[in-house]
Amino acid sequence: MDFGKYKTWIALVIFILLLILAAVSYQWELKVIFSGRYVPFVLLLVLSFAGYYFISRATEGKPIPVRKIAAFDAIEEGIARAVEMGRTVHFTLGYGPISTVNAPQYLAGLGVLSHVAKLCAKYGAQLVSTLGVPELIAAEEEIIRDAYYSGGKPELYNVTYNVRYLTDQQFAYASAVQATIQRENAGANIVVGPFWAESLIFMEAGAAIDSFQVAGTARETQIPFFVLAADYAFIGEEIFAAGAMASGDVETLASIRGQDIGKLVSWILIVVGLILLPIGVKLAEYLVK
Amino acid sequence: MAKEEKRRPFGMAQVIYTLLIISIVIPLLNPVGLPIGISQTTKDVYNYIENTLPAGSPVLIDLYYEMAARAELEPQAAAVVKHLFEKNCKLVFVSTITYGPIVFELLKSTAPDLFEGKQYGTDYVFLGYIAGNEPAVASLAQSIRGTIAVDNYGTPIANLTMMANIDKAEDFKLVFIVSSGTDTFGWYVRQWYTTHNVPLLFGALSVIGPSIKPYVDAKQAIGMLTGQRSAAEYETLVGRKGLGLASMDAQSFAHALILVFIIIGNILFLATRSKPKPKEVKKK
Amino acid sequence: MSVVVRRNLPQIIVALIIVLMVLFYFFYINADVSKTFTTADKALSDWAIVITAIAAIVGGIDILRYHVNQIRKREMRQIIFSCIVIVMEIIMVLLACYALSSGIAITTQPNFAWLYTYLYAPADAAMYSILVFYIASASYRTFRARNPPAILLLIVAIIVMLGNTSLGAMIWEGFLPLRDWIYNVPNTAAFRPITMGIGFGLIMLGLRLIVGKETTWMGRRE
Repeated sequence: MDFGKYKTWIALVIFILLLILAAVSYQWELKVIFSGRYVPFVLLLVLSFAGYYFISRATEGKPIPVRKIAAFDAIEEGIARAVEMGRTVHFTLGYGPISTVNAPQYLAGLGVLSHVAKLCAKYGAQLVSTLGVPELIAAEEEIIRDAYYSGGKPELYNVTYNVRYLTDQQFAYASAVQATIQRENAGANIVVGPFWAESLIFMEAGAAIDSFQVAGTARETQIPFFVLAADYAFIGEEIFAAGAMASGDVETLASIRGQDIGKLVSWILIVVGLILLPIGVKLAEYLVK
Repeated sequence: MAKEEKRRPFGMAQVIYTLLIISIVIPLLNPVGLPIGISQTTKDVYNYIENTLPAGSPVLIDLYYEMAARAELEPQAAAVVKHLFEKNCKLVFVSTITYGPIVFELLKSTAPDLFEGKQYGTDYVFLGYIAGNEPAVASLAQSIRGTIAVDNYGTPIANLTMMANIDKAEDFKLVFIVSSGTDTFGWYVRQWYTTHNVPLLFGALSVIGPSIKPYVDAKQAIGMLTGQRSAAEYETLVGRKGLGLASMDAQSFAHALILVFIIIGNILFLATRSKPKPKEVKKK
Repeated sequence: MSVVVRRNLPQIIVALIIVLMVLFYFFYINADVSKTFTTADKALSDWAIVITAIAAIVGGIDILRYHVNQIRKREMRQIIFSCIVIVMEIIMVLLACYALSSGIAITTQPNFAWLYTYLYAPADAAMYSILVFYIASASYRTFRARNPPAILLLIVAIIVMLGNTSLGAMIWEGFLPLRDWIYNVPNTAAFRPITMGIGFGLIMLGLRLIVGKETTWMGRRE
């Protein structure tokens, strides 16, 4: 029996069963789910099922339209501009150990790097990729090598030149990236990943040499610096969407719709909470039970 | 590949930098003593320690910052430590970052007045660097002795007098997290506050303030100090003139200079925009 | 190496760990399972630290490779910096090894601590301090009254700056409470949706990892 056709239905049944389990556990105070984690569990279920549903629809050939992200399209513009001026393209991913809560941002950065590398191969641009995450050195080397070889430009690949591990210490990494941007005279500076105080240093280093800058991070405190100083910026979740867009895979793109369902649920909860507040009901207190 | 470096002539940016250096160095060398107001956020923290925290309470202090953030966070740590010592609290210092031991020694050497009259092992201890991030913080909450056997100096925990009755989260009345990162606060919220109901106090960089404010609003932390401004305010409240207060004059003049340049920039921008464009000469 | 080992096995491991972590975070089975999970969580974290340490060794060798290459190529502007990097890297590694062989923590080894405190730390603090210059030049360049949102940003920036300084208090006492209100109300309101959106993006990324749609982290295709 071919279960592939019924994947979505099986997922729906599992989703409903888990919802029932959560409801029964909450109502009868069974110690199945930890107290205070019911609402996050339900939200996770809804989002996961929504994402899986859209992926399945895309697999069946029903593409899901995804809005364009200006910063993603601007990457190609920046690389083309750098090639016209005979300058290099610089990309950086961030620093630090990968085994932290920022690991997803490194993954998103790798997704954007693969897109950047493919474009560099397409236009014949020299790519310099700096990073401060030692665990990702091999992944970056393979992504860039794959891009140049598949793009028919193997002569442009030089592992020592293209991939530079700097250090995993914050300001040592920041000063090294700043120096790299300026010494390599980067025509395009693409900065995607988790960044801390060094974000503005990178932007100013690029601005000093009139570099075209595209930046993105999911660290909220640094988003304002990128929005102000970069030509185009990915804001928050857009870096994860960019990672999906970079793959060019319709099924991966379709999962972005799941994020929109999450936002819809949040709006509904906010509106309901605002309506209930004047009558003395604090929705937030119920949600954390 | 074109690797020529563009050498810019001495431009507006360089003028700003030069004036900024002057506006920072001169007040640091010759403090003016400008008055500073105390924000409600800092008052809330002070009032909690002064009025709510019982005297002699055990307090855990996590020093999670490296050298770059020291200028902003050490003054906060010093001011709060002074206040806690005035209340005869028993302080357990710990660090979940590799450079914690160095940072603690620097705190002791730059603020020796804090530890005058206080005895190591009786009034305060330093347990050293504990690897493992959030799982380490969770493990500390379960049992300090189960997590580490010796302190930073190799002394067994059992030999430290004040640690006789201090072993798990419930034994502490407050946790003060001084951190240059954002994640650290979340660890303690999840592992100390949510599971063991231990009150938390945050000491953070000013740029991180907005992202940890939700914890304070949700009453998961009793309050927060952000940046040198909060440090200066707290130093005023506890009566200790430290680096926070000393830096406020420089900070004020630097801010004022930046404001002046923003205004000049806008005047020039608007003047350029309002200039009439030259008429195009049509070729016959 | 076969495709199964290169592609499928890592995907299965990642998917399994994500599902188990989520399962044990939400579901309470019994006290023993909960304790086992906490122990396993700590163990995973410890293994991750070990992997990072080994990767740092690889990184250190990569740094040496790059800088030795620069010296060989006689890139005149780079050569002096490359020499400094290589010398300092070797010195710090030797000191760390000496500390470990003496049975003490690396950061308590006096020479290592001296080099860290009097060489690295001032440079670290200087790089952080350089931000004040960059903020000044970025503010001068970007805070322009181009359109209504830019004007609003400019006004708010001026209020917050004046609220942060003693000079602002001397002009008008209301700047500080106004600054506090801006931090507590509109600023927090602006951050929260971004934080929520990031959370949703993370969940979708996790889902893509589980179903095997996110593969860039594995490097080469095929």
